[in-house]
Amino acid sequence: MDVLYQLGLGFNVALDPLNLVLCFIGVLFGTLVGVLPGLGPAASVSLLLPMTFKMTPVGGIIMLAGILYGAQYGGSTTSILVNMPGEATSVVTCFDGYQMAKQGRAGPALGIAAFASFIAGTLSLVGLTLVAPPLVRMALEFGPPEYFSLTLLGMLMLIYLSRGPIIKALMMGAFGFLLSSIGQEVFTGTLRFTMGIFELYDGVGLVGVVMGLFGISEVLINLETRLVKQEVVGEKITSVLPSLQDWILSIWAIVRGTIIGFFLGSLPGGGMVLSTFASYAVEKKVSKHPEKFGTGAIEGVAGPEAANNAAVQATFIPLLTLGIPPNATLAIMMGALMIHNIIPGPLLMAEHPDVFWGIVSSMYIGNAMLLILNLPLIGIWVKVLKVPYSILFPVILLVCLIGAYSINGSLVDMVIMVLFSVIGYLMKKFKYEMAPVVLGMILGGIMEPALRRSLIISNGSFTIFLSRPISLALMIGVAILLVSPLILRVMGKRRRGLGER
Amino acid sequence: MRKYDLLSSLAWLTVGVIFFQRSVGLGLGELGEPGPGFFPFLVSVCLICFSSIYFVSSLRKRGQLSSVESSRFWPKSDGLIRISLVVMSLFMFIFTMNYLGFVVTTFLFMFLLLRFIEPKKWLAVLLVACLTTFLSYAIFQLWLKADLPRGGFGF
Repeated sequence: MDVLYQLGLGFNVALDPLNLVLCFIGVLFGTLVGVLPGLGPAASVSLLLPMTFKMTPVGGIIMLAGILYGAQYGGSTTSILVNMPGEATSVVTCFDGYQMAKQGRAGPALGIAAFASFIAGTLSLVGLTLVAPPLVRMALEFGPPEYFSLTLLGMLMLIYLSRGPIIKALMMGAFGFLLSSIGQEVFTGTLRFTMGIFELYDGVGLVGVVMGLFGISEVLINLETRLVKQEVVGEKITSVLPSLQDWILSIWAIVRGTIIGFFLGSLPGGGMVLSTFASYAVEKKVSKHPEKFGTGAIEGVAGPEAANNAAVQATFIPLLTLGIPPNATLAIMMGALMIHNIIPGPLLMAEHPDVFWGIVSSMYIGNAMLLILNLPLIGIWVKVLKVPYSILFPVILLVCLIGAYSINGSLVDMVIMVLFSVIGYLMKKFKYEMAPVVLGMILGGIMEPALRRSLIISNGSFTIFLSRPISLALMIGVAILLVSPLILRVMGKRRRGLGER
Repeated sequence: MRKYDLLSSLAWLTVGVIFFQRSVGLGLGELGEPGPGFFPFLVSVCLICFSSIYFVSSLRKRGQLSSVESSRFWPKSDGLIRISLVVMSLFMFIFTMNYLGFVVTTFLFMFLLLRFIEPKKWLAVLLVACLTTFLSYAIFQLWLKADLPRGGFGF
């Protein structure tokens, strides 16, 4: 029962009054960010990042983590009431959530979304609590070759799971790796691709790129057409409690969504958005009434909402056990820990058990807070939604500008942000995925030193990646990913050929 | 539309070639002791390969629907004007902040966007611009101590 003892230790940290307040600020701010479309968790986490420099490392991370999972709760509110996803992870919630709201069932839709989020988030945390210790024991054996294989696998997973042609996602992943190589290089101190700009010596700031690609480019897309006043349905929400019938329909969807979210979320490539689509597809497949999906089926809200919350909790697994941030928000959090000289990775649990278990326990508490914030207080968030976009978008832009400035107090980060917002806008127009760019930037910094160290160890032989058992297993995964699309293509052609005959 | 796929793959090919050329210049080292240019070299070769493959496969797709929808690609002219106005005001914010100071710049920025992108009444514009300027100054400067630039006016 070592885990229970450790968890008790964690609750000791998380229940400290100051940490409770920080957790509350985090989830409150997170819900707000989730409700407002166009202001993602990555941008908001970076906005509050400078604040954490003066806090204890645990307190800072507790607050930043609260923003991330709080946003998943808030995002569903906007999806259900306005038919506009508050976050990328709540796109699927629009399909049936908005239909339910139009039929006057906004209350149960919001209710089941919050309950599903709470149940899935908590179950996923239990999973994290149990999986983390054995994973850490395994990760302690990791050397440079394992880290190289793992980051390669993580990158390829994200690429193969993304929408659109795989070749385009591969191009974006490569672009991300190239961006990560800008700046002073760690082995010899050589300056690479800095064009003599002093601020680029530390590399291209991730925060600016993320806010530009995901935040501001979204505003630009929205401004293409004249702004119409959004309709908020469900002005009067009487009861948010789902009926017994709703629960019977939803409970298995929640369980399945949790499992899907947990596994996809815990991959090093992070599959938060994907898990919601997967859960929706599964629910539609197992349902006895697949035709009801898209017309207000409550399972279509419960499953994906469970999946995104299970996934968001699971994304902490690769960060806290392997030191690999699976998405931009967690990469920024990793930066927040490293400023305090705490390096996330296999040693974290042994060296800073208070940090590790404090974060985990605070998330149990934060989920409970969110349930209260999102059910009885739903009226507040409905009011927030009534702020017209023509007022909202300048505020979003201003907040992003200040956020980019406050990282280093330099104009260069702001310029990078605006440049990447234009690149992001064009990428959206030309249908390129942005997630691989950001993951490439994050993983590049881990992958390059791992690759070079491995080659130095092996004296230039690439067989080092195949001669060590863990690395070999990961590389087999890479090979399967590389070959499977080709096989599927050939099989698809053959099947089509047979059909024609 | 095929031409957009061809165009974008050429753009990425150029990015790949630039990085390729620069990383060779940085020194590739040897396999047993890779130099600073080694990793970007490998990746830029990948980018060049991928974008060439995409270029060729889009070339062969004559007449077929591409991955970019064939509906209207660029927004109408008023949409383009709105977008360029926003990008321009973002740059204006960045480059005037150190001279005019945070407060004045923010007020001008908010005023411009509220008044000209989706026109609102003068009074409402002034009110919202003042309010957001005050709030952002209070939150980021006074509370979070973000140390925003002061400019010539001293605030």
